[in-house]
Amino acid sequence: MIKRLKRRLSYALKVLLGNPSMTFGLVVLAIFVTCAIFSPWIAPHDPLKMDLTNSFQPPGSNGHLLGTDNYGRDIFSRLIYGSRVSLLVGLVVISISSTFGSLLGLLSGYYGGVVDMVIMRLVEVIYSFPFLILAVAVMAVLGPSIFNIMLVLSVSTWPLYARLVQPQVMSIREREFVQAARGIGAGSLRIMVIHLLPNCFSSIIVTATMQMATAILSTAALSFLGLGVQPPAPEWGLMLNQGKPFLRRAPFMIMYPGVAIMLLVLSLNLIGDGLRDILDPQLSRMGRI
Amino acid sequence: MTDYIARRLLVAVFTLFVITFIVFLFIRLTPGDPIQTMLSSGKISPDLADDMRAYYKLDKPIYVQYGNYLWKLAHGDLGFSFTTRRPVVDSIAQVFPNTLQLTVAAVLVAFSIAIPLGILSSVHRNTPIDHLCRIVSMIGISMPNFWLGLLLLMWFGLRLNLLPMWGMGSLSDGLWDYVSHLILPAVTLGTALAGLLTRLTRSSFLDKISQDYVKTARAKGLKERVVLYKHVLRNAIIPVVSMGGLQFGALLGGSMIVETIFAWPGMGRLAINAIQKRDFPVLQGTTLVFAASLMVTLLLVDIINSFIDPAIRYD
Repeated sequence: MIKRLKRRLSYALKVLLGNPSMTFGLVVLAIFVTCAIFSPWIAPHDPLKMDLTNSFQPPGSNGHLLGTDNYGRDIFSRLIYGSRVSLLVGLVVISISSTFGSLLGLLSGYYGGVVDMVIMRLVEVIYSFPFLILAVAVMAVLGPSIFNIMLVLSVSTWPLYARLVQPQVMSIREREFVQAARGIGAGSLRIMVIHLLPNCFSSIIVTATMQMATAILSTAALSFLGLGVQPPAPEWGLMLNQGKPFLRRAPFMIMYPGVAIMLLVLSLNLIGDGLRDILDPQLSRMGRI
Repeated sequence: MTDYIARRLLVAVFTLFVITFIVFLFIRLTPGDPIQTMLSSGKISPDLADDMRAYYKLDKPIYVQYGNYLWKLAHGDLGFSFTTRRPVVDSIAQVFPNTLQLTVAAVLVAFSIAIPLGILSSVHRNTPIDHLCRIVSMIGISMPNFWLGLLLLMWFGLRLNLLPMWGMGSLSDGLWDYVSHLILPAVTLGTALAGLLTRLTRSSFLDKISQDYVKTARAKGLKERVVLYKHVLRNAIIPVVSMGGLQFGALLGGSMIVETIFAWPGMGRLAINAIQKRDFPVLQGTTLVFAASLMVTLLLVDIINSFIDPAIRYD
């Protein structure tokens, strides 16, 4: 038992050492996750506390590591708390959209025929909608809130998973192991969930990792446009929006939130890339994009 | 071939219907009656409110309203702006070419960065040059364009004072005026696409470089340069170009952000302004035109691909 665990650990270590960019991604992600979980203990100041006598403090002054914004709020603390919003939205969105999309892809690939046609047409329709524009329009109508962001992003990204799972299921649904399962009396549901779905896990995980990056970018973009998270909440896109009028006076207000978004998105993309190399050699050979 | 195109067209028409329906629902989903809101805030007169109700057939059942909307749409009528009272079609027609210019410029920026970098990366595979190119392209993909836009604005506009910070130039004021206004927004919009296409160019090149016809070309004694540009590039570029088309939707979304940052008088800015003023007919119109232009692009990419690669038609 211990021997096997050791072997697995050494294998994981070997993979990581052989892929420095993925290791970098994992380390950066771990830092962000730590920040999100332990925000109250890591952040030196209250992210919402205004102090107008202390506004536009440059980085490093008066105990403000990254300076203060136009309301005198500590930028470093706001960044730390901001990681909560981004990671939460990202996680919720990929959980909903990957579950929903994979299930529909599974149904579509397994049953074929009319079911397949209906689901795949629906996929095509949503796929051909310019996604950020749909999001912007829906947010304008429903009103900006974190819940609505999650809703919009989930609804517009599930087709990706359906498109991913459907052809894989189609190609394996007549294989021997499925026929064997059917032969010993397994029902459709059991075959789909126990036998077919696990074969698609690796590509779903890879796509979900990359999609989490996209979800985080989109959340920040919506907030930047004033249609996402609302003030005074500490959110990175919103912080950029608030820093925009002070480009000349306080460039640091837009510098750090941007770096935070980029690092988190970069880390997820690097991890997704690395996972693809490990889990899905076929996909990685076909198109390393 | 004709079958395939006919099927794609059918799907496109169906998609367009669904899009019109979703867009039509926008106004219905809004809590409260927008016309009543405008009336009570004194923005419009009671007469005008009655006219507007009659125009949108708001007293009729919802399917009549939708039918009315489609009928007007079929006649090129997208309604009137709540704020400027101008026909929405006119406002869109005025700014659409500006967005088109911006997106075309962004695509040009993306290709002119991506193809040389991708080739460089694949030719020097697994060397420091390759690693550097891959890091740069990954950063390009991960960088939020609204942040990049602000940084460019700060450096080239504010600090160095090299390029104009907002607005659109006019050719009547000289070529430089036009181009200089275009550079920052186009680079902002094109960077993410450049990153994506660099990676695709690299993988596509690596894939083609190991093919037999390349070996034959080399065996014939052709110069490496000729092999690369004449034999490999021509084939490797196909997926890159079609990916460029598929990413058009992302560019349209990005144009919304970029136009807001650089005050570019385009569709994205029109839409964002409409949201701020709760001008729903304009928001409906811009969303519809955005969706329709993406659909047309996807259709064109598909049809072009099916000409280039016959295998696609039999999917």
